[in-house]
Amino acid sequence: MSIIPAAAAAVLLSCACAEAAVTVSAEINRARVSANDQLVLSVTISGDQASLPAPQLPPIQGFSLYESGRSQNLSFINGKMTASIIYTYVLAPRSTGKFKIPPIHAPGAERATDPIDIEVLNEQSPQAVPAPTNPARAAPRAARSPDVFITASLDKTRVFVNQQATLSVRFYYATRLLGDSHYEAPKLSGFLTEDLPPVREGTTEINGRFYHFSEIKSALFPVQAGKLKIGPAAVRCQVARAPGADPFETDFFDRLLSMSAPQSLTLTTEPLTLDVDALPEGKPEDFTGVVGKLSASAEMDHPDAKVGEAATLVVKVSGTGNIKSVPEPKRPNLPSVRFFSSENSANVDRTGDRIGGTKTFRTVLMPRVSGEIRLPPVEFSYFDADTRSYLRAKTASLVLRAAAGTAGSTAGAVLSQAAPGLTDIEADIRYLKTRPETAGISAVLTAWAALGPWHALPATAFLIAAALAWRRRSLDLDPRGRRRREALRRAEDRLRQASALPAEQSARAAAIVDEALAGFVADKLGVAAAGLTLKTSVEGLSSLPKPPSAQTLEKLKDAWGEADLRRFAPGAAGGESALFAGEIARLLKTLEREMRR
Amino acid sequence: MLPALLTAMLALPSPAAAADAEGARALYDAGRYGEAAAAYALLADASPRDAALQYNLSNALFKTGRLGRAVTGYERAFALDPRDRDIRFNLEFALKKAGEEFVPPGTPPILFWAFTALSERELAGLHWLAAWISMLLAAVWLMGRPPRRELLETFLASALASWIFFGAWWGGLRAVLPPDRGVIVSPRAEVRHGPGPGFGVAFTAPEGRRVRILGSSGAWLEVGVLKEGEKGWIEASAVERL
Repeated sequence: MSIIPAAAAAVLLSCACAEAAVTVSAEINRARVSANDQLVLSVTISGDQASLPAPQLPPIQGFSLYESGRSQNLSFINGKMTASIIYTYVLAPRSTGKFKIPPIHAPGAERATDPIDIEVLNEQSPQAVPAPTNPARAAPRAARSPDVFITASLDKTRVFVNQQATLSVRFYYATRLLGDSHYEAPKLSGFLTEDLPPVREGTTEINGRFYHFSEIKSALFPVQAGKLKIGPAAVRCQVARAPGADPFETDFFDRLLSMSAPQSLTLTTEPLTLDVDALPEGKPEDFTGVVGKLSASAEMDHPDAKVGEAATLVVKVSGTGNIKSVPEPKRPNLPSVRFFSSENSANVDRTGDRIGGTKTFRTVLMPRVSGEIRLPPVEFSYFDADTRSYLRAKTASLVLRAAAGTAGSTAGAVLSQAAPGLTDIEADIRYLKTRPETAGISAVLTAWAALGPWHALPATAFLIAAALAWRRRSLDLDPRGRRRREALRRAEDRLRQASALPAEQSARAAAIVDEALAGFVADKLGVAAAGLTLKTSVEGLSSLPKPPSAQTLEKLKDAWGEADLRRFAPGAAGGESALFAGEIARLLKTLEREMRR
Repeated sequence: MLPALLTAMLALPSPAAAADAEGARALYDAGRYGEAAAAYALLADASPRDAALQYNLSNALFKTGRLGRAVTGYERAFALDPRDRDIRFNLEFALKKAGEEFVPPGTPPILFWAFTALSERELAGLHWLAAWISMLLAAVWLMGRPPRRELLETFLASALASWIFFGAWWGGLRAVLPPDRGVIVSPRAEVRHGPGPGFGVAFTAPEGRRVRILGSSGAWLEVGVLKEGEKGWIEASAVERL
């Protein structure tokens, strides 16, 4: 063989291999679909080249076709590249009947796909018939199946009061969640609730689509009969807005794009109603409302005790039901035994999402007499919802063998050894108070405390005293200012004194008026009154920062002269001294007012 | 003001109230505790500051098995008359039944007795009395020049010291026994993580346990259990405020 034909054969062979390397296949997620539903068609193009052609879809009779994205896989095995692209389409039926998806071609593919038969049913709720396909690829996204949704359900729709109903809230998501999701429990009224941790996680397939889910369960114990509402539960989450965010997809770029567009969603469940029946008639006298399946046992930690020594009676109630609500069993009435305060503890078991467990009551008791003391069975009644009957849980009878106590033993001392931390207490409270309380100093103090606004009185007195003391201190520190401020008061005192004198002492009155005038001016000017003349007075007053008016000064001159005349020539001046003193007082007030302006 | 003080000093039960009290006691003696409690409740409502009536009411409630209400009543009686031995004893007895100690652990009983020997209102009265005397003496001291000024200053200093002392005691008592307290009165009080039945149960508090009321939201109260230091939300009907 020459080299040319051999090379040509090799090229032709490689071309043939290249042609044969592209394959196309198609599959649907279901073969039968109802008229109001949709199905998903996945077309896979694969080959050993990076650039794969797109499929050429023929018209599909009876369906509307929508593109729903693509995903790409690229792998190298033993140095050989393999690539595949899955094109996803949603087919919405336009009519009922039997249809066929024609063969689908792809450029470069040796052969087309086989035709696919589909039957469209005239049903509202079609029975989903899985297609013979790979479920993980067959249902990347169905248009009617949301990316996220939430459901709430009860395991029972009718229970008795205090019987457990289990509420399950499931949050499904088939897309990537961004950030944290927040769960808001439903609003419940008329229930006692117990959480049933942990939060269950898992995956499931719904309508051909795979979902992750988180499930939260709670045990509800209705406390009243009737139709009790269970409010909506809610989940707040953020999901990727972009297409191709299916967590089962493997395309890196789709995932990357989906991270850029978060969408906040709040999903809520529909409210639920639970029918709660009242417990039937025929309740035993000691029935306290416990519903479940319970048993009781009892034991003594020291069946052989001495008189005055403590032993502990342990009663355990076990089973299913709201174990925490089991009340303390009634103590037997035994004069030969002294009972002390008891304590209880509950160990709640949530196995199988049923609340149950064990409640333990420990009662310290002490034999009062020696001999064999038989403790009667401890029993209580409960309601069994399965048999719809009231039953009794009953312990076995116990025997306490009490030997004679040692001399000098006391209950308190023994108890402190037998039950650390427990102190002896008297068996009962003290009796009533038979005499009325006498009100005394306590009542006075209480009434004093309740005086309210009256408590401001001493504070007011204190503040007034402080203000007066401050004023007095200020005056003491400024004798000239004090003299100036008190000038009018002192002059008025003198004038009153002059007015009070009888008519025959008019000269004396005029002298006092004269002193009042001179004293007033001297106080205002801060000089000695002795030797003060009318001229120096007028000059001094005129030179003050706030001098009196000229008219007033003229009046002052006249008054001063009148006073001198009355003083030294009493017969020459007319009018009464009191009237004159009054005129002078008015003049001085005018002066005071004008100098304060 | 003076009539109020005189009324406080001479407050004696009316003959009708005394007869009612006798009737309530007869019911109690006959073992008809529920009826006795109802009768004492009427009397206590009419005289809420009568410690003896609160005590007797609590006794009747205790006998009917209402431990929480009994503790509430004993606490009220104790607040009114803290030096009464019977009240102290029965309060301690009831608290023990509720799993609580009357004297805080680690506190010498004599110290606790002395600290609580005076009621909050008595301390408030002493505080205000000392305040009145201090301020009036200070006013006299400021205003005049009394002949025995040194003696006045001695009295003034004593009054001021008393004012500070009783004020600090009063404040300390309010800190140790704050007014925003309550008592669990429901037999099985479930304390939840939030204010609603939808929240999980954090713990259960026994009847008679004293709690501190920290806040409220609708018909729910946020409470702190004093002994264990836990806190959570509880239905308001399960707690009676002190």
